[in-house]
Amino acid sequence: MKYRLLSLLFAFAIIPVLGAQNVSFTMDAPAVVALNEPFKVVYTCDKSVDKFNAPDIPDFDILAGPTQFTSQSTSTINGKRTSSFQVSFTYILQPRSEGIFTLPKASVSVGGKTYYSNESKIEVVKESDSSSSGANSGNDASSGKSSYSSGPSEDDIFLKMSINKTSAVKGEPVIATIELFTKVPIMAFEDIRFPTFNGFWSQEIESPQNVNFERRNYKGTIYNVALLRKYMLLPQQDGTIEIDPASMVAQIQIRMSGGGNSIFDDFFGNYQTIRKRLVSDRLAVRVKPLPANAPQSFSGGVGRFDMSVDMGRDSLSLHEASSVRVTISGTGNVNLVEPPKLSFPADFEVYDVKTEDRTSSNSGGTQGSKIFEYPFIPRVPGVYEIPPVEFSYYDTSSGVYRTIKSDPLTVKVGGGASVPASSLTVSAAGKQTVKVLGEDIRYINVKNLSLSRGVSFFVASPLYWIIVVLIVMAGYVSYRIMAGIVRKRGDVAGRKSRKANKIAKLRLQTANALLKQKLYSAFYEELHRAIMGYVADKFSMSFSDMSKENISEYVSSRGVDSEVAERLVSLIDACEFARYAPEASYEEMDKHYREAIEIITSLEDKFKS
Amino acid sequence: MKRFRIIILIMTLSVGAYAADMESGRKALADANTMYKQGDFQKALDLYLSVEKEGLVSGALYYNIGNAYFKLSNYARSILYYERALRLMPSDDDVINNLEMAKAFTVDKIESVPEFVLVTWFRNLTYAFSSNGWAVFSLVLMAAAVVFFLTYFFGSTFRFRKASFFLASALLLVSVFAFVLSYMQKQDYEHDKYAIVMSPVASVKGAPDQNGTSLMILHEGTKLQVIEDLSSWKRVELSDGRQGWMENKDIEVI
Repeated sequence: MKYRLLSLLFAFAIIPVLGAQNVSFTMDAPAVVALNEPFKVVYTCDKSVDKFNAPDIPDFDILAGPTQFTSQSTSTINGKRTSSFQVSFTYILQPRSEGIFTLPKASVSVGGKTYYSNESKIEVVKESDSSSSGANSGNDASSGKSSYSSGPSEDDIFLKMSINKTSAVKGEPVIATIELFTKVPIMAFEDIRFPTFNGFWSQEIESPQNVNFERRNYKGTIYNVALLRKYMLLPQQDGTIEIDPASMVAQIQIRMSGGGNSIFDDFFGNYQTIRKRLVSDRLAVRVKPLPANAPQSFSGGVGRFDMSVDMGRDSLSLHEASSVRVTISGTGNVNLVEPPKLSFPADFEVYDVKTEDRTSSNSGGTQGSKIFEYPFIPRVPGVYEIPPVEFSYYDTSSGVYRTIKSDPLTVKVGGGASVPASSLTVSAAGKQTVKVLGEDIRYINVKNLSLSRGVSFFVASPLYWIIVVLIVMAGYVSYRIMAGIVRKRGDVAGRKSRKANKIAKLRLQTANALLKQKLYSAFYEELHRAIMGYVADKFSMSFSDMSKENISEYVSSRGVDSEVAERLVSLIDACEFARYAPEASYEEMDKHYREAIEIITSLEDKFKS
Repeated sequence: MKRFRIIILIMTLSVGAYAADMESGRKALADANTMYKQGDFQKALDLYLSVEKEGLVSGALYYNIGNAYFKLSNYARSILYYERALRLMPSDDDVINNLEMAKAFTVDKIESVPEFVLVTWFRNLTYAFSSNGWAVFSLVLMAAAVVFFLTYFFGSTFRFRKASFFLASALLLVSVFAFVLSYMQKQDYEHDKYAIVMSPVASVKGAPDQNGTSLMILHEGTKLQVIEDLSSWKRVELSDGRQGWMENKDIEVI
């Protein structure tokens, strides 16, 4: 309350109370002046000045000054009161010679402290057209009076478009500036057309609301120059890209000479406004394609970049959302940089990348950073490694691709809170199908290093037929060898006994039939007959000679084992006995039959027929 | 005697040179595999091709060349080399798999003439092993048949001899069958010529003449059968049975 009262008091005070802080002391001078042209240099301070220390100005003639001028204004806008106070010291100077001179700084002491103004460079040019500009003060174009009787020439007013480089690689920023140069007063503009910049990605860097003229030396002539637009252009295609000209219609005030020659005409002037269409030059930018050996992670970044990868926390609980932030900062076409590829583990649920653009464009291209946020939710606990993030760009200063690689990120996913079953699809026993992450051809064969000279087929080759013949021959030879062995070892047990057995069975065929019919006496009769017949055949005995004793003796004399001979005799005995004995059992008959076979077989073995 | 010695000397030398050649080829192949492992597919390919230029071949070499071309996105060439590998090892699973993947990158879709199922089945059987595999198989079976014939002649029991006889006969039959399959593969290799379209776009003409009517347009990677040669032209047949003439520069014989 007290404070407000105080400020009210100050507002009505004629002499403002000076705060020692925030003293502004500046010098204002034109950038270019013509020789013999008087001009104004103003030192301005916004606080009451105790003492002004005049600068030493050696390069110019001081026509007047310093002239002190104090102005003060108070205004109330929407109840807010602002007051301004200015003290200015004005010099009128005139150059002595051509060249670039420095206007020295002046100093003021305010409240016991000394403040210095800025320095300023002034270019003095030889101005042939003495009629132009006159004693204009600084930046006011409309005050320049023209004495042209006809329309202004191309040199008096023109539109100029300039680019900072005529050749660039694809994606390298090019700055285009459109300026209006004039020596004549301009009343108004109409029908301003700026280029469309086909083939470029364009962005306005500066588009001033008010047209501010400043004096500039252009090819030895002083013009009032106004910046209309400044663009940043990023070439999007190779080859020579033409930029359409900018155009506008300017209304220019010219003095008519045809009117009366009265003193009033001279005094008031006889002016007329004419319209003039101004068209800038056509420009072309030669765009070179980027070199072919682009790394895989290259996505069009041209300039100079830096990358940082940040993972909020490296330890997460299950189903907790998190994100990886990749910040790409630098100069160049930052705003056109695409998000680098990040390969998350397959068990992570990954969402769309969020992009935040923090870039600003200026005459060096776009500066700033672009932040990519990769949100994800881990769905399975474990320790995961996210492979390094790679970002490649084309370095325009050295003309090579550079790749920035981050460190791999490690994420630990803990057990975490249990999640309602509905939000998860869990198959039985916690199994899941194997996810197909990508397809690739199968790997090369590294094991088989064998090589051959030309393709050869084994089948039906001479070697093949030789082997076939060899196999057949080997078979035939082994057959002959084995057959020879068999013949040599004629008494080969198996073969022999098989034959003997066969003979015995043949001899006892009838007996066998009777045995099966269980014809008791007929069987024994037949058995007896068969054995006797066999022995008779075998040992060439006549039936008449065959008594039991004879047989035993004879057989023994032919080298038969006495045991076999005994069995033979006892079998014959048994047969003879059975013919008169009561019926024996089937088992008995079978036993005798077998006995007979065994005996005959063993005899056959011994005496091969 | 002296002349004989010289001949032996020359033979030893030539065999030695042959072996040295093989050894350098194997080394280059191993180096190429290492390059491939390191991801330098272009260098690996150059080395593989240098081995092929030496006149040394193997199914594995062709397969690896096909893989290198695939990795360099030259799918037509990778198909060509997979097909070449298949000619040497017709039943190799990896080659068939990769060939299918490479074919996915080709443009032309040609409906092949439907084949009788037994023919397909028989061809699959024929190419279940390589020709040399079948040939060795037939020899082994033949040797086994001879052994069983011997056991038939000299077997001790009747049942064993009977079994031997049937087994020997069956083995002999299968051996002859294996020989036939092997021989058919050889015939196929020597008489059937196939080619792959190499130009990105190539036209099939109605006659072996630049001014001939264009019958159709084929794209790289398409497989064709070569029927006839005529100076710089080849008469080709598509798998759907259509025929035409193509210039040699547009196609490469497998």
